[in-house]
Amino acid sequence: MIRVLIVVDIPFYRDGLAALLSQSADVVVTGSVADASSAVAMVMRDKPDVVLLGIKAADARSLCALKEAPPVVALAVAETPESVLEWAGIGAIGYVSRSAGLADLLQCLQSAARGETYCSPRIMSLVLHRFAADVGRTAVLADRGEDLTNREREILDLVGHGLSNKVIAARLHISHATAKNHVHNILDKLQLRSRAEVAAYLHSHAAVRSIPAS
Amino acid sequence: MPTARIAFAGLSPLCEDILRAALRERSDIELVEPWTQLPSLASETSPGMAELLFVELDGTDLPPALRVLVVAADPLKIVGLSPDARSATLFSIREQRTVLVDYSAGSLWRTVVIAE
Repeated sequence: MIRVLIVVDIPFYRDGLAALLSQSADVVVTGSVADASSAVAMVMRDKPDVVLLGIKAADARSLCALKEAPPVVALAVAETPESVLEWAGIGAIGYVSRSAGLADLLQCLQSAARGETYCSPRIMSLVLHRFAADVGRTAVLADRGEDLTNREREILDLVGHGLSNKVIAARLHISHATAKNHVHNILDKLQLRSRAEVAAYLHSHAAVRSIPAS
Repeated sequence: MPTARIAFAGLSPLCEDILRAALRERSDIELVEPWTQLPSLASETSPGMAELLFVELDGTDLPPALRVLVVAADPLKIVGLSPDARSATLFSIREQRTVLVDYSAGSLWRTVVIAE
């Protein structure tokens, strides 16, 4: 028996799902509310096994961030990588798209109660394509990094730690203009446009080492 | 005894599941499946028996093909549900009006089917 809290802002789905799920022998609906703030108190009090969320992902963050938050299933998720990744980012492990029916929803709730991810093959495909694209981009950037000289790698680390050209010049006992040239060459070789992109590049490669003592 | 016949066409599965569940408590409403079997589509009318077709709208207007249906199958009425299920609009040969906002399945049957 799965104990489910329904948090849905559209009355038709909130009331309808409460009635529909209550008819299932496998589900007990512990409550149904329209917003995350009301849901927080119900999670603390009733300790449901799963929370079914049909609100904006941004509004769900406070609920999902609770230490006591049970597994979350997102309802009526748009089948786009952005939407799914946004929900994944706040901790949802189940995804029920608009094209799903009651049988899919019940299966998703059961999987979530076991701590397992559930989504449609289409959503899985979108996520895997996005993952593959990110891995490919990381590999390309890693290849570009091989063109850097040892000095440029040293300066790359310092840029990644947020040091300005002036501080880098002082640290390495080189002129400001030389430091500036090195940074320009690094951006050019890595095909990056800003120091912020350098930081992101280093983060994705876990390349930022502890900053050397001056 | 049923006083209204209804049918669903192209609703999202979960929406249809909810409406069907709420319909089990209404012996006064008859569900016709598939929707193409609605008697009014064959110009067969029953006095005192309303007929309504429930569809999901893309926007606020009825698609041209369904407008033709409303004219050709009068007295058939079409209930257009917004994609987010927040509003229901009634279309007939004589009128178009939003009949419910933020409704439940139960209020949909009471307000739209029975009142019409």
